[in-house]
Amino acid sequence: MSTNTKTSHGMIFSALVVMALSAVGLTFLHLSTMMNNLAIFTVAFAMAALVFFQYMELKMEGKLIYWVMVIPCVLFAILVIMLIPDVCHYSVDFLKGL
Amino acid sequence: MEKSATVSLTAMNPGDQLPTGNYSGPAGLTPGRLGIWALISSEIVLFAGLFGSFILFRMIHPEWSEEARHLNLYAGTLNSLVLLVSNFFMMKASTSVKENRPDDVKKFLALTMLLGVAFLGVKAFEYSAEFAHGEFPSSGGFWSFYFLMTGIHATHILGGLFAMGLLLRRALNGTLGPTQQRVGLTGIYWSFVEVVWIFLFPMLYLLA
Amino acid sequence: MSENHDSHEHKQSFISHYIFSTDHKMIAKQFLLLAAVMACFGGFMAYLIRWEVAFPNVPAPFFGLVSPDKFNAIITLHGTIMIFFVGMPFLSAFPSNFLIPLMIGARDMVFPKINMASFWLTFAGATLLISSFFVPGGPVAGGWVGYPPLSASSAFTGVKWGAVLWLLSLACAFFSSSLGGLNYLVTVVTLRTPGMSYTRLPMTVWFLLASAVSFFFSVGPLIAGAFMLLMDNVFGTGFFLPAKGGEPMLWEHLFWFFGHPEVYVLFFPALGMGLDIMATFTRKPIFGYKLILGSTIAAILLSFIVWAHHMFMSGLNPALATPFSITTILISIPFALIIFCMFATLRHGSIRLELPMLWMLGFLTTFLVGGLTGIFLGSAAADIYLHGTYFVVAHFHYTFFPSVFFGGFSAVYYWFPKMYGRKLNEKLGLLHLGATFLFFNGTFWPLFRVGIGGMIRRVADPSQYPQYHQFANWNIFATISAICLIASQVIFLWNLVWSINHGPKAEDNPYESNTLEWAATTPVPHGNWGATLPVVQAGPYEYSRPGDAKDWHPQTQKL
Repeated sequence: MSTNTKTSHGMIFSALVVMALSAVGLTFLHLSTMMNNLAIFTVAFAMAALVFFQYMELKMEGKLIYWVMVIPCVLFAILVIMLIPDVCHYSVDFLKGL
Repeated sequence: MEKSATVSLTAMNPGDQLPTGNYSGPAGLTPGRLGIWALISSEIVLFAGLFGSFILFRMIHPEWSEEARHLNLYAGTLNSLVLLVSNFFMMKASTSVKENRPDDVKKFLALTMLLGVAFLGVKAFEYSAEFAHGEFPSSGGFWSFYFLMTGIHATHILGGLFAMGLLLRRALNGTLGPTQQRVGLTGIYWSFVEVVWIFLFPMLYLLA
Repeated sequence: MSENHDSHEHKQSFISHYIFSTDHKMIAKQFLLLAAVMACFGGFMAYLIRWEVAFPNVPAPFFGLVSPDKFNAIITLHGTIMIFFVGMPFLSAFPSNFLIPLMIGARDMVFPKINMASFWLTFAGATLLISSFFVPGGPVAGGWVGYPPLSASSAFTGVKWGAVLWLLSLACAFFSSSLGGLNYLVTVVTLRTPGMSYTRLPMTVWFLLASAVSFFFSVGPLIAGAFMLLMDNVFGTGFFLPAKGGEPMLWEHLFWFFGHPEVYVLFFPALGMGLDIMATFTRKPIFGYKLILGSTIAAILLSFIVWAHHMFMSGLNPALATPFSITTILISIPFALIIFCMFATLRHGSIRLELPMLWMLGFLTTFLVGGLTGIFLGSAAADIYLHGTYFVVAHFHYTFFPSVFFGGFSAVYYWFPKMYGRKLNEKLGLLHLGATFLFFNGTFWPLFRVGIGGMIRRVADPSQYPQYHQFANWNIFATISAICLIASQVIFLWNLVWSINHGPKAEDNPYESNTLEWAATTPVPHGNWGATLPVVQAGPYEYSRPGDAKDWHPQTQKL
C-alpha cells in the first residue's frame, strides 16, 4: 500500500537532484575544509533520509524494522570510534587536517 | 481452536513448493520485506567496515584531497544523476505493479536496468581513463580505496541488475503475477544502492 | 486443486530429492554430511600439528615430513576448516535447518530456494578451500586469522593463489551463513503456528536465532577487510602493508570485530539445544527462562564491544586496553548466569542418564573450564604473558570443542530418531562418549600446563628452543591423546552410517519430550504436518506438573 503518489515521487526526485547538484556546486565555493566537508555530509545525510523514509517507505514500517535498521548504524559508530586510537594513531595532528 | 492449513496437502506432490504455513508476523509486514530489510542491515555493517576504514585513513591523510582532484567530477556527477533517475523509474515500476499496469511495469523495469547499465558504462569509462593516466589500485592509498569502494558498489549494481533481469523476464512472459511483490523488494534494494552512492560520491569526489 | 485429486505420488528424481532439495530436513542432512567430511580433513590436520610438535622433524605416518612452511599451512587450514566448514555447518546450519521449522510448527523455511543456495554456497567454499592444496605455492599459510603483513603479500609466505582461494572460500561461507541467518530470522518471525507465541518458543529456537543475528550483524567488516586483503595480495595495494602506508592493525580490528561474535555464534546453539535436552532428561522446566533470555540479549550486546581482547599484544593503543578489558570481564556475567541456570535445572530433577544427557553433562564440565580460563585472558595485564601461548590454545579448545562436539553430538544423538526413525547404538555411543571425554581432556589439559610454562603456539619445531625441552613429555602425552581422540570419532561415524539403515527403530517421541518437533510423525513427511498445522496451547517446559498423570505435556495439548 503506497501512500506516495506519482507527484510526490516526482517531487522527491527533483529535490534529490537539486541537493546532489548543490553538493557539487558547494565544492566550487572553496569553503574552509571543515565547512566544506560538514556541508556536503549534511546534504548527503538529508538525501539519504529522503530516500530511506520516502522511497523505501521506512516511516511506514514498524518497530521490528526500526530496530533492524538502528542496530547496524550503532555498530557503524562503535567501529569507527573505537578504531580511531589505532588507525589515526591517537595523535591530535589529524584534527589539523579537517 | 483448530486452524487448518490453507491448502490441502493431498493435492501437493513431493518437491512442490509448499505454502509454508500460517503467517504470524507483525501486521502489514511480509516475509519478503523483513528479509530485504534484514539483508540491508547486514549490508550496512559491511559498508560500515569499508567506509569506516576510508574515513579513518582519510583523517590522517588530508593530502588525498589532491589525489581526488584527478577524479572526473563530471563523470561522477553524471553517474549520481543517472542513478537518481534509475531509482525514480524503479519507484514507477513499483507503483505500476500496485496499480496493475503490466505494460508500464515492463517499461519502467527496462528503463531502470538501462540506466543501471549506463551507470556501469560511465564507471568503466572513468576506470579506463584512470588506467590510461597511470592511476591503478597500487598507485597509493587513495586510489586503493577508490577502486575498492567503487568496485564493491558496482558489484551491488550488478547484483541488482541480475535480480531485475529475472523480474523483467517474468514480466515479459506474463508470469510476474505470483511474484509481483519482488518488484517492490528489489526497489528497496535498489534504493539502498542509491544511498550507498549518496555517501560514496561525496567521500571520494567532494571532500576537501 | 480438487480435494479428490487421485493421490498418485510421482516420485521425485534422485537429484531433486537428495541433491538439489529445497526441503529443510534434507538440507540439514546435507550440512551434516559436509561437516562430517570436512571434520575428517580438519582432524587429519590436527594429527599432523600434534605429531610435528611432539616429534619434531620425524616424518608423520600417512603424510611425511611436516616442514615449517607446511606446518604453517596446516595450522591455517585446521582453524579455517574447523570453524567455518565444521563448526558453522554442524552447529549452526544443521540444527537450524532441521529444527526451526519443526519447532515452530511451520512446513518449511520461508525461503526454501535461498536455503538450498545457502548449502551449495558452503559446499562451493569447501571445494575452493580444498582445491588450494593443488595450486602453485600451496594453501594459505598466514594463520586462520590471516594477520598482515604476513598474509598480505606472497613475498612473505610464498603463497599467492592459495591466499586468493582462501579468501574466496571464506566469502562463500559468509554469504551462505548470512543467507541462512536471514532465512531463520524471517521464518521464526513470520511462520510460527497459531499459539506459538515468542514466550512459548523452546530455547533451541531462541539461541539459534541469537546465533544467526549475531553472525549477520558482525560479518560485514570482515568482508570489507577480506576484499582489502585480496587486493593487497593480487593488485599490490597497501591497505595493510606498512611499507605502502597501510595499517596492519586495521585488519585485526575488522577481523576480530567479526571474530568475537563468531565464537558466540558457535557457542549459542550448544547452549540452546543443551537447555532443551536438559529439560527433557531432568523432567522439569529449565530454571529461569526469562533470566536466560535477558542474559542472552546482554551477552549479544556486549559481544560486539569486546573484540580487542584478541589484540592486547598486537600493538593495540594502550588507551583501548582498559575499556576492552572491562567489557570482556563483564561479558562473563551473563554467560555465567546461563551456565548457573543450567546447573540449577539439574537440581531436584528426575535425571534420566541417557546418551544426549550424558553428552550435555560432558559439555557443562568441559565448557566450565574453558569459560573460566577465558577470564584470565580477558585481563590485559595477565594477557601480556599468556597471549600467544598454548594457554590460549587450550582455552579456545575447551570452549570450541565442548560446544561443537559435545553439544553437537548431544544434538545428533537426541534428534537422530526424528531424522531417521531409528536410534543410534547405545553401546557404541557410550564408548564414543567415554573415549572422547577422556582423550579430549588428555589432549588439552596438558596444554594449559605448557602454556603457563611459557610455550608459544604456532611453532613447528619446539625442540630448537632449549627452554621448551622441559615440555617434551607433556607434548608427547597430548599428541598420543589427540591421536586416540581422532580415532575414537570413527566409532561415531560408523555408528551414524550403520544406524541410518540398521539401527533399532524408534517411535515418534522416544524421549517423551514436549517440544513440537516430536509431535510430527517419523519419518517426517514433506510439509511436516500433514493436512493441518498443529496448534500450540502450552509452553515447551511443562514437565512434572503437579496433579498430572504423566510427567510431560506436549505443546499441542491444553493445560
